Amino acid sequence: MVQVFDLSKTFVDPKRGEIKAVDHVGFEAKPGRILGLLGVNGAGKTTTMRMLSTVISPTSGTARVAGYDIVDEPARVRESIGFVSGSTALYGRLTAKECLEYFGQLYGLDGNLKASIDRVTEQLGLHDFLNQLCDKLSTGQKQRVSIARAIIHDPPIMFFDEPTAGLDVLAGQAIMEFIESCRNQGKTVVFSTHIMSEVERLCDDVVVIHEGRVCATGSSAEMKAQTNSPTLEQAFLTLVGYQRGAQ
Amino acid sequence: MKSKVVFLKELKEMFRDRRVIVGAFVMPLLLIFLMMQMFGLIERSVSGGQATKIAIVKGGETTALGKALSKIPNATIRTPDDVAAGKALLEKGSVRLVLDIHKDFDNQLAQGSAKVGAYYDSSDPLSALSLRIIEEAVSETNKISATARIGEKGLAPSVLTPIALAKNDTAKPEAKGAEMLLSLLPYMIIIWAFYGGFSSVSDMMAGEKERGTLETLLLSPVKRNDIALGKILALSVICLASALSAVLGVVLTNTIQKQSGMALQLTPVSIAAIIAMVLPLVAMFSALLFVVSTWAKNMREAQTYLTSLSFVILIPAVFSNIIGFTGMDKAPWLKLVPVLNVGAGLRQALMGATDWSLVGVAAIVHLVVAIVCWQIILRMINRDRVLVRI
Repeated sequence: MVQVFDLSKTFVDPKRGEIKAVDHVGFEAKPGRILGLLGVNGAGKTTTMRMLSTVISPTSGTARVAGYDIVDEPARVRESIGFVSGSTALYGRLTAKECLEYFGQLYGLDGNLKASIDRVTEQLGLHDFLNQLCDKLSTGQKQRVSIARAIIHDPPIMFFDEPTAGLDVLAGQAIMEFIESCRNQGKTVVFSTHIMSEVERLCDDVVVIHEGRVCATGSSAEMKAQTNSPTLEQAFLTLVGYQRGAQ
Repeated sequence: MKSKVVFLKELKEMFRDRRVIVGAFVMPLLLIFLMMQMFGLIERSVSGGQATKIAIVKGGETTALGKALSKIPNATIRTPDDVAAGKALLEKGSVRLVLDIHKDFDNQLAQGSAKVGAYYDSSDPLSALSLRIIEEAVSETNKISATARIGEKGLAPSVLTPIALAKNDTAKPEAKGAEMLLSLLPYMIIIWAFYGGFSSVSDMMAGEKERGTLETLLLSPVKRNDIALGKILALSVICLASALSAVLGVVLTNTIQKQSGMALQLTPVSIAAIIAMVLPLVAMFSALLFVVSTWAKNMREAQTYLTSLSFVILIPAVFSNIIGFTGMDKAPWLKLVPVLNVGAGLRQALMGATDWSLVGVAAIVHLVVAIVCWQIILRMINRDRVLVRI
């Protein structure tokens, strides 16, 4: 379970002054369901995900992830989550296996490290390139190792921040199948994207974020009905107040 | 201890990086070998007679002075027809000095005084050295002539030297003949303790930010302080290994060349003093380098700042090499100047004259700077700014 309460983040730029990246955001993601954070680039999705994963701290508000407060118990939160993004990278001079061993040790899996590596290797089909340097892997292979790294400790909560960015259709398909499998395993999944087709296929619940604020919550069908739009894309444009030729 | 996991992974990555191997291990060995070869070449050039290639204008070689000059070890005497021909040889570099000794030099000398013309090129170090050798030879000939004359008048030779200067060298036996090594070694240790970490540090934080691996690392439950500790320890190992590589380079080259009088006799006390100074120095360098890498947004920015920082380190390091000529090497304030104090302390320790108060103060000064940098690193790594800079 992920519960977000009035979460805000303000950055201070010496030239531009205060920038509100996330402005009093609140939502709830439940086990066995996929919650989609839908918004354009710069809407505040990644900042929200980063606060939920405790790599940056909120300016105000808080959230509970797997029952732990992100401000008071950040280490517990990080133990309970897996984070996959299109921009997270691997160590090029380590092999895929060494990367998994490294993160396994950081997650304190010393006793059952081998079993954990075997599990994710089987789950993501890493056998063929497990002993290759990460620098030598294809983009799709790297993304699979990245996912394996994120689930090495079998977390109950999964965050996916635009995980298909830069991937081809086949690799993107594999990622979406993996996200579905997480839901089927009963994990809580928070998935951020700006691609409507991915939201329609994967998300049980949708939170539309625009300029740091929540514009709407509900299912895809509910949003289309609410805005009287035939497609999610049109519903989204209506919700964020888009007007033709205005931008 | 999760910092140990980070430390071992960093070391593994660094030892797989060709830039680190070349920058921290191969370059100190190679550069020191080349520098020592260069010094050897200079020494061989001077002692092998390059500075004693002399031209004596025809007729002058048969005089007493001409004959005395031909007895200088490794001297090569050429006899051009006139001064102009001698100058042409000087210009070509075939000789380093031209002497115009009058044919009647011996008679002139017997009558009281004689004049010798010397033509040399002050912009050529070997020519200037050649002039010094000739001045010594002329002075010796003057002394012989004057001694003979005062002998003829029944006076004692001591009349020529009413003040006798008794020279007593107080240099330690270990230091004698090893001046070149003593001025080179502290400088090399300091420079490579810094540059050893140079090639890997920009990758450690700034590089991780740029590639996105830092975010992955910060997503793990490990405390950020442990991450910083693991990384900085790995960096210290590389800096220390690089400094030791420099020492190894000097020792190996010295052994290969077997240059006489260039051997150091390290005692357990001097080794202890060297370790006591080098370890805090490495701690300070690692911390300084790591501050820059943590601050920078990307590799390029880190390398720009690191280049500027290297000049701040280079200036005292270079000064430590020449401080003996300034008279400041025993000034009390020297102990408080980072890097410079280690330069002076290492030189003393290598001469077998360890000043433990200097060693202690130098260690404290470097540790204090390292601790201040460590506090800055902890502040930076625990802020959002380490990942997000608007």
